[in-house]
Amino acid sequence: MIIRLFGPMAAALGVDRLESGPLSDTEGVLAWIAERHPTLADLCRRSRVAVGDAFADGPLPPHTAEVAVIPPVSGG
Amino acid sequence: MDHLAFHPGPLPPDLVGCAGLRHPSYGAIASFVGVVRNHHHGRTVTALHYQAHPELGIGVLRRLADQLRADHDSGLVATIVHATGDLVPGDAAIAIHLRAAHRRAALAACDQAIEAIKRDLPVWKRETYADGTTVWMEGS
Repeated sequence: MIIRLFGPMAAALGVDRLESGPLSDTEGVLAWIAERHPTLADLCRRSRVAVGDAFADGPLPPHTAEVAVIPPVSGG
Repeated sequence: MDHLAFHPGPLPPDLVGCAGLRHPSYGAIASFVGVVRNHHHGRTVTALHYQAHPELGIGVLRRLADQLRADHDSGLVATIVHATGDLVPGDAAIAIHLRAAHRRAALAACDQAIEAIKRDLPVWKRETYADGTTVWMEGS
């Protein structure tokens, strides 16, 4: 699965995407990142996950190939 | 028809203004224009960079426009454009123009829209200060 990163999260790691094995839910996505990048654990706790053009919460649709992690936003 | 978009660079005058949106079907146009400040918590801001997730962002704006129609005026039409990329103080970063039949619906919808955008629109702001340091901001 491709995990797209944005804003402070991408800047912290110096990459805009990570590649994981299959993950079944949004909590698993955030936990996967936090486990491998402990400096992002706090940011992960305050982040959401999106699939396509919508936020997701809970189980991911079967065969989801790409998700986006959405840290706290600051537009407007 | 709604106009929901991201725009590379500062918003041009035709997106900041609403003159082109006047139509006799709409008795009110409520607008909000966000402008890049030159200060933040006592520090001098010299530049700003916005990054967005456009696919999710347009989805968020589309659902927001539908919610505004459900809550305020079924005939409401939304123009919401957010800048991306590099901006400097004084540049327009976001323009919201909501057309409705009556003023109360337009004003209430505009307030609801900016609050929703501050909470949900996937845009991230990185400020650059006079001393050259940069900070990614979190929403307020």
